[in-house]
Amino acid sequence: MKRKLSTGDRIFTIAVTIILVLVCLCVVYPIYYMLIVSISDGYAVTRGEVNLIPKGCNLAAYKAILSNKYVPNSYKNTIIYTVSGTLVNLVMTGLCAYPLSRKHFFGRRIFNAVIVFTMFFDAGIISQYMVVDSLHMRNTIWALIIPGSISVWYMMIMRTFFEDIPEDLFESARLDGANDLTIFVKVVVPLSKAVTATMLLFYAVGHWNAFLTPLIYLDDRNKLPMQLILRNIVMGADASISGSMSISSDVATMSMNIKYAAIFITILPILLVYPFVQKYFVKGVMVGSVKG
Amino acid sequence: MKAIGKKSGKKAFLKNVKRSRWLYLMFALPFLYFIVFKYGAMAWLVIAFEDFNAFKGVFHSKLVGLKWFKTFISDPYFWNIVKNTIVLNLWNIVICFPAPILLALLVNEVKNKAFKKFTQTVSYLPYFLSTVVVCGFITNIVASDGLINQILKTVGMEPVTFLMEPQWFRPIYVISELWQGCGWGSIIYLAALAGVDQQLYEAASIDGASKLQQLIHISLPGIVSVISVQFLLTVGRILSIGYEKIILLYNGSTYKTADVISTYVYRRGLIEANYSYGAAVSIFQSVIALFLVVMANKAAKKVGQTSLW
Amino acid sequence: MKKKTVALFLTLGLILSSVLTGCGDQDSEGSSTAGNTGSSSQSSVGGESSQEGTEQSGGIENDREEITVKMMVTEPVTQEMPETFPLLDAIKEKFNINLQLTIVPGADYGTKKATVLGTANMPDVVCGMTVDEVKQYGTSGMFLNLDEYKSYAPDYFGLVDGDDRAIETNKMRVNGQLYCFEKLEKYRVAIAPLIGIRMDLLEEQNIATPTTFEEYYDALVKIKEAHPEMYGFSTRNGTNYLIGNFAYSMGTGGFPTFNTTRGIYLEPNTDSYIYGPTDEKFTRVVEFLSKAYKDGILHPDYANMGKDTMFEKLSNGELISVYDNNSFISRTYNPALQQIAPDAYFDILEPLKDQDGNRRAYRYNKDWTDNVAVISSRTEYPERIVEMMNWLYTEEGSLLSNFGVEGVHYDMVDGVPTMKQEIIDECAGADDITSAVLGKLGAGLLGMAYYVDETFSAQVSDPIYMEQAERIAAWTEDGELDFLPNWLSFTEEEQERVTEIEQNLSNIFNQEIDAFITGKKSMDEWPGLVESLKAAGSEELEGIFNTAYDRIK
Repeated sequence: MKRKLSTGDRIFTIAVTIILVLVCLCVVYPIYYMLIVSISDGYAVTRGEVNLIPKGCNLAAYKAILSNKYVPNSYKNTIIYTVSGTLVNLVMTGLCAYPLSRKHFFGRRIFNAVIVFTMFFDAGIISQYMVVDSLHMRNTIWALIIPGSISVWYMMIMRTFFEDIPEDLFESARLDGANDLTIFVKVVVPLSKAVTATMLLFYAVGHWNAFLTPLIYLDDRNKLPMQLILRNIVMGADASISGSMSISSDVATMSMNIKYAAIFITILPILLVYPFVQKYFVKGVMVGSVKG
Repeated sequence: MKAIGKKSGKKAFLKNVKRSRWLYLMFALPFLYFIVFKYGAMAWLVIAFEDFNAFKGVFHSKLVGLKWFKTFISDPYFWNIVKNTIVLNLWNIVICFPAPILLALLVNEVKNKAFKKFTQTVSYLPYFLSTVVVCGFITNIVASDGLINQILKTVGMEPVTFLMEPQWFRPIYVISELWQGCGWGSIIYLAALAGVDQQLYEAASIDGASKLQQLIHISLPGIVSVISVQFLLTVGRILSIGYEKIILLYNGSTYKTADVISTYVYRRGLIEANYSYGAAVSIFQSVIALFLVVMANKAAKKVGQTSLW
Repeated sequence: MKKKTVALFLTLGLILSSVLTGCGDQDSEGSSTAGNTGSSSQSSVGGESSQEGTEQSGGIENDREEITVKMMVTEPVTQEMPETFPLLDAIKEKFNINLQLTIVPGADYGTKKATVLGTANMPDVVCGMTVDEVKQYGTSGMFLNLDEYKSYAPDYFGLVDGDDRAIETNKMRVNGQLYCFEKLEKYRVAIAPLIGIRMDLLEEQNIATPTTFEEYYDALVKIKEAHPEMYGFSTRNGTNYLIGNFAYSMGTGGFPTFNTTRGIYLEPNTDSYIYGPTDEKFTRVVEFLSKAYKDGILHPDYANMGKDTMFEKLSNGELISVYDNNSFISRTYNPALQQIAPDAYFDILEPLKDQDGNRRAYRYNKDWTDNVAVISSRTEYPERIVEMMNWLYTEEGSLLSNFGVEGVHYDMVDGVPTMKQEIIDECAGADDITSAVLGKLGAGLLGMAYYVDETFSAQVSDPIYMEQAERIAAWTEDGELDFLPNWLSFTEEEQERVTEIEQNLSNIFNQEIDAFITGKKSMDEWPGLVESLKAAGSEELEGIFNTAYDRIK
């Protein structure tokens, strides 16, 4: 494989690198900017003096957020909701996508249509609230993980991945006497690490960022997830925008710092999780598993 | 398989069902879910034909037939907002849809592991920023003393008040969508690329195919079914655009291009919370979108691509 | 293979059963926490029987059976809302009512309200409603009609139907009926949207403090000549917000304070409603703004400038003046500005004289129309809840809900309730002492007070803010500042028409106005816009408003 790269390939590689570096730059600066704002002096930020290097470094904004007495508990809640919710999502989506991907699944087209239809006629959150309420799920964790347990969009993608698995793998399993369920568990799941990792990431981020469902379904403040508490802190710093109320001094000048600090507190865990997910995107997952 | 088709109806039916019994077992729970949570909730859409009174409830409110549909369709701004919604979505499809695919293909070509990881991780970060923050950035960048106008001034051009010019709204909106969603959107395609058989690349490079050729003839076909499904799903959203970002970026002078269905309904909702009107508009959007997707799906089938059903 | 089948069945069964138990859990919990309307489970019989003879608030019997009342409140973004506080104990003791609070984060309270109201799933009491919401849902029959329970709320009705409030209260009535308990002011630190200007720059340029709009404009021009990088003013809320501030002061009106969608306003000279943009004098405003834009006085990014950007430009010395909530001056711009320019400061101007020599400007509504409470018409204990709410307007209830318990949290000093120093010290170091102290007590405007007394806030606020408040109060006395009037309520037919016309008018107006300000269209074309606004029903709108107004005057 130690062949010399042709000129064309070299140009190609250089072009790819340049484009990606540009993409990274476009994305990195705003993020960097938010980071330095979040640790700079509030007044300096208000005056727009923080552009390239932080000014008057301090962690006041992070302290302001983390010192809120609801934050630790809400963080715990978020983790519970995210983990359990994602688990249900993956199981349900898999159970839905796999049958729909099998050509011999009798009624497949009708079921597909029935499900895709719901994507268009989505009656919105209030109607869902009524269903959840009539099932007595309100103010429980179930209200957060059951009603959204399958995203049609993600399910369709998963189905497509399943369909792309070579048919001969199924045939050989069937010849060994496996039924569809066993095939799913023994063949399909191991071959679908990449898509499962993607779904895991997508669903988990959805739960992590969710605020609308917890807001409307949960009544008990101690059950609220982090996003709702953070939104309140961020808005608190941003207060008075709508109102005829007086503004409270220090908090107002920290509004930008707090806004950005809240973003970092939110995305840090996702940043930490991502490398583990990324592992499954390396090439050749499929080939490796087939051989093994 | 062909034998089954020849057998008489009932027997074939039973045989088919029996053959799929394990699949039915698996499918039971998801199916129940759709019936309860999606179709159960759909009953609510009845309010589009009612003068909905929350206190009386969905089933006891006064029926008004197609009143809300008529109100919406006969609105003098109807055509403008429908057109703007579609045009903005077309921009999205042309620019924001292919970008993540391209990004994924490029990232896939990177051999340096550290750089590859860095690019991936960094490019999806903007996805996590709230709309308010993103729009704050945009207004700063295009402000009269912002980055873009500074550049225009240095090259000797007249500064532009970007957010006041209707012709600039769409580019600004689409670029911001691109910036925010491109990296995140590429994750799916990266996952798909991970499934492409490595032996194909090896074989091709032995045959002397250049990298670009490999990209076009191996990588791209390897993910085309995912692209196809994503495309069909995107078409289904052609009449819906969230209002959050637009209301932060538009103003009266850009209504001509920026005002879409959701923002129009939103402004109306500010004056009066009218669930019935909202439901009627959403049904209108759904019907059109469904029609378009059925068409697109037919086309996809014809060219032998993965279809939705 | 059989084993696996069994295992899989078991797994599925487990998932199902866990779902079901999940629901079961909630059921057992439901009676105590989840807010089903009127599910206040402690027996309901006889709740109404012992009502006679309780009309005076002093004579409320204490031996009535214990009831639980569910109340949804918001935790305002700036002040904490505790789960237990002295007022709740007092209510328990006095009325034998367990007030069970559902506390919702303020940032998303609107959505939560829309959900419980839109699904008719409201608890016994919902606080923190806006009058607009009361009007939207009022006709549905969802709320308790307080007029029918007038005898249980003598103190409240005494206040809202008093001479100084009667007309404004009538504007909140839906089809003539009152559905809400409004937060009323007992004592309020006065604030208003006013022009604030850099006094240090006026001195530097030897300019006398402006008294008319002309002088104000000339001052801005002169300062701009000396400091070409500066701009005169901007806005943080779009064009209509800018217009709303200037128009009324210039002798016309429309888009008052935060209402950026409604061009109609109450003209005090004729005591009738006028759609501002079609008013003759409205051209003054547009000409003023368009001249300002041309001269570089109005910031070129005004139409899309947000709060953060405007604050930035005010506190780094880029803007010479501001027309906005005066409390920002002492608490945001001045401190930030003085870090880089110690002598720089903004101060408010007395409302400027318009071309006819009149001074007038708005201050925010009297009382708090964006913070009212409604009772569910399905509640089991309407009388007892109304009584309880009414008590909050009595001297006793007001003191408790604004200051806590006498002797424990505050003392009466010369007849003035004064917070104990140790209570204040407990919150030393807080960003905002007022809301930190009141947050612990669930008290004050942002807490459970309905007859609001801001004495404590006044005692701990900074001197500049209080000094401005005194001037604002004095200008109000002199008739230079008018309270922003409440919006009218309409019959259902009227409302439908109003919605439609207002929507059409604002579409036309919003699309055109910036073209006139930025000079893309000249004022010669203004009459054309007025014509199209009239064609879209501005006169009909005025008619509907004035008919509705005549009904309640």
